[in-house]
Amino acid sequence: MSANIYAFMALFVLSAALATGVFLPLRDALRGLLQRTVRLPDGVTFYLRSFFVLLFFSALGGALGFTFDLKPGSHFMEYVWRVASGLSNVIAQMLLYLGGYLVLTTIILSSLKIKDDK
Amino acid sequence: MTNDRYLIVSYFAVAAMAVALAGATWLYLRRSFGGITQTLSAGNLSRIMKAMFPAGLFLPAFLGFVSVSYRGCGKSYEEIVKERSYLIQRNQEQISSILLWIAAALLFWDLIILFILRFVRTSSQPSAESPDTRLP
Repeated sequence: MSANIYAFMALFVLSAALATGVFLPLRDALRGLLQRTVRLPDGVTFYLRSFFVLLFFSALGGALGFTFDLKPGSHFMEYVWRVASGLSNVIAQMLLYLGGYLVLTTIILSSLKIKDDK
Repeated sequence: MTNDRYLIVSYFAVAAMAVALAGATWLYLRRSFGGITQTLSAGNLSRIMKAMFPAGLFLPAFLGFVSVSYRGCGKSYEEIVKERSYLIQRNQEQISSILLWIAAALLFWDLIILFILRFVRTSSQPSAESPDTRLP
C-alpha cells in the first residue's frame, strides 16, 4: 500500500476518534436536557441518535472530501502536514453541523421549556 | 481493470453506497421517529410523516451522489478516464457529499419534530378564553 493510503487511513481514524471524543462527554448532559424539555422517550432517543449520526457523518464526510496526492518520495512531515490539513477540513465540517444542532437545541429550549414553565 | 471499467463499477458502487447509507440511517431512527409521530398524532399527520421520513433521507443521499460532477473544467471523457487517481478522488467526493447531505437532512427532520412537538403542546393547552377558565 502507498503512503498516501496510510495517511488517508490515519485521517479517517482520527476523524472517527474526534467525533467519539465530542459525542461521549456530551451524551449524558444532552440526554438530561432533552428529557426535561422534550419529555417523550422516543423524542429523546430520536434527538440523541440524530446527534450521533450528524457528528459521525459530518466528520467522516470531511475526511472523505479531502484527497492525498503527495508524490511517492515525499518526506514524513509532508504527510503529517497533509493529515493536519485534512483534520482542519474535518473540524470545520463538524463545527458547522454542531453549530446547526446547537441552534436547534436552543430553539427546543426556548420554545418547549419556557412554554411549560408558565 | 481498465480505468473505463473502474469508472463504471465505482460509479454504481457509490450509488449503492448512497442507498445503503440512507437505509442504515433510516433503520437506526425509524422506531423512535414512528414512536414520536404516533404519540403526538394518531391521524393523517402521523401517516404522512412516516411515509415522508424515508424519502427525506434517500433523496438527499441521492442528491449528494449526483451533485458531484466528473466533467469539472470541461474535461472530455478521455481526459476523465486517463488517470485513476482522478476517478478515486471523485468517488471520495461523492461519498463525502452523500454523508453531508444526509446529516443536513437529519437537521431538517429534527426541526420538523420540534415544530410538531410545539404544535401539539400549544393545541393541547387550554387557552385563556376557554370556557373552563371563565368558571367561578
